Amino acid sequence: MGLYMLFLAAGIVLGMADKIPSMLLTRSSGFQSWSLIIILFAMGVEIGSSSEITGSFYSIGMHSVAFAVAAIIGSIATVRLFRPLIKRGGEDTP
Amino acid sequence: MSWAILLSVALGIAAGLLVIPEPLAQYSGTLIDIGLWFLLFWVGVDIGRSRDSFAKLRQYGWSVLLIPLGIAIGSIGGTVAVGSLMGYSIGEAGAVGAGFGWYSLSGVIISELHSIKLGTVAFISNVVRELIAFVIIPVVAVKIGHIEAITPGGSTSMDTTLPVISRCTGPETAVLAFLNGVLLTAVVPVLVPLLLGLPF
Repeated sequence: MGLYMLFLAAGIVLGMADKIPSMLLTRSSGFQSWSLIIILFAMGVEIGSSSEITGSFYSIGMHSVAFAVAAIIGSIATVRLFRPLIKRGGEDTP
Repeated sequence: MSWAILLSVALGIAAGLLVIPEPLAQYSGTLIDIGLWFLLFWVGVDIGRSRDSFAKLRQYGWSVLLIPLGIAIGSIGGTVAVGSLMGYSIGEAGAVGAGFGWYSLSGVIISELHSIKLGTVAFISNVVRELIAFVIIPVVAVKIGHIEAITPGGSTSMDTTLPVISRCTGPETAVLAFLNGVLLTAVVPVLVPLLLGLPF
């Protein structure tokens, strides 16, 4: 966990300080896409080789949908509560 | 990109099931760790270089921070409430909610820091969140309000769901949606490990 934070923080500091060569910056999106594809493939391998996961796909799917619906309802309800406190320009406020 | 992501997970699952022997599959954790360090570094660089977004935030005023704050509280609160009914601890359910729709990163972090099972739940849950968001954003915009239409997509309001939000609301809400996505994206890599570290 500490290492994850360290790499994130290092990126933020170097990004804010403009210390990354522009040659690398132009490839940032590609670096992120390819590293994501590689780690998600590796995660897929872990999922596929785990009998615990492959044996309980149905319950995992049901739990996932329940979490997604709960997160969305919770978000809408909380922001609805906060809405009177949010100041904005009013260009497209319904 | 979304299709490439889903395809790489599907190919990985097929390879894990059919091709890659179990002793070799054990090394995938190391590959994920190294890939995550690299990815988080570049995510950090993007956040650090988002000075325009933060300047825009000052222009709108700090009350707009209540949008990502409300999404964070609502997402985590919602998943903790439902998770407790399904036997998850507060930290586990909260970490799933704290992905805020960023399925790729939250799924992988949870797989590495907790278990591949919870990581899979987080991944699928956040994919489903994005899919539901595409469907309900237009309805929420009309029936509830423009600000609330930002919320279903969570952190994806800065990229994949932004065009839908923009079309269903207007330019001002689109700017707020983008800022919201930037802020939520910045807190996912911090919040997910913190919640997983909770002892309850």
